[in-house]
Amino acid sequence: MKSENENKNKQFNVPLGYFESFEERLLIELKFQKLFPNNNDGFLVPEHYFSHVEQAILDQNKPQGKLVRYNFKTILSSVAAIAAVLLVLFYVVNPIEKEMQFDSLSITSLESYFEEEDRIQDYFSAEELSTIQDNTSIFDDQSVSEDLIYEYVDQDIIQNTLDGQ
Amino acid sequence: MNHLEAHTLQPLKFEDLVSQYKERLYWHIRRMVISHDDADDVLQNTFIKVYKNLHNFNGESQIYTWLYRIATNESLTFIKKRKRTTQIGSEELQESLVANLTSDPYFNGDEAQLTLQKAIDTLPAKQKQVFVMKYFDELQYNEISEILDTSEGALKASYHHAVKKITEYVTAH
Repeated sequence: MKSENENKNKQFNVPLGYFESFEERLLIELKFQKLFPNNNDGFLVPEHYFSHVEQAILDQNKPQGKLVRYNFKTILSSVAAIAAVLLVLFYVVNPIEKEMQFDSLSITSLESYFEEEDRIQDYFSAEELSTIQDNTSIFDDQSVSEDLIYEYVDQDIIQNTLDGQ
Repeated sequence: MNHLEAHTLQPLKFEDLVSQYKERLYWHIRRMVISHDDADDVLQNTFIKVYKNLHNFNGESQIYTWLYRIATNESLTFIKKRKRTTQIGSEELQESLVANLTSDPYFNGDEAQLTLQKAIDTLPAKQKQVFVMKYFDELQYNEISEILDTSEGALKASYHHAVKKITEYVTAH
């Protein structure tokens, strides 16, 4: 049968393990109180310190006496502004070249690209390669006509398109 | 009327705040940074920050807890800066500060109080803060809760652990 107190307090709860740990917590607190009966920490201040420090604080914070202290935001914004000006100047003095177009590429550059990187096999069939090798270079004739380029590059595409129609 | 509530009903005057709270804030700071000279620097920095931000104080918290929070943050910032400057670990630094108390002209504690300071310095930062605020500054848990933004339950547990560790340390030494 439950005790009368238990029945009366059934609407209240306590943290888990509260009563089990209560004695231990009480003993620790009593032991501590016995070791340190008052909360004097032994620290002292120089004579008249508090009246002097009050005056010093008020003097430092007078409205007309501005404090010169590092302001990280101000420094950061100044540095950012200088950097922006330098960046603009750099691009004015050394303008970036316009975006490269196929027309602006020299024949030599294209030749080097394919030959040095050994990419030519990725772009041409074996039959075309044998033709190229026979003629030493596809770009020897620098006055290649537009029709010839179309014939080379889009031959299959045009044919497929025509076949499709 | 509680002194903590006095300033919420009238415009805050900086001079009054300095006059009323300088000592309590000093002792809180002193127990964190140990030396008087450092506490003096941090106290002045605290009030400079208060002066600059007084217009931002919205009265949602009590003025004293607001001041206390600034003082706590300034003390922690100071300790971190000092750690960077001296290039030694914070624990090592605290140990040397406590060891120097014996020759400090502004410390007159007996052997028990010196041991207590050494014991406090073995505590983790958060436990140390809670212990100092509760035991020395005699703040209520609800006030500490507001200053440290921690639940009262967690603060009570923290304080109990601190007392237990200090008692064990003092008994062993």
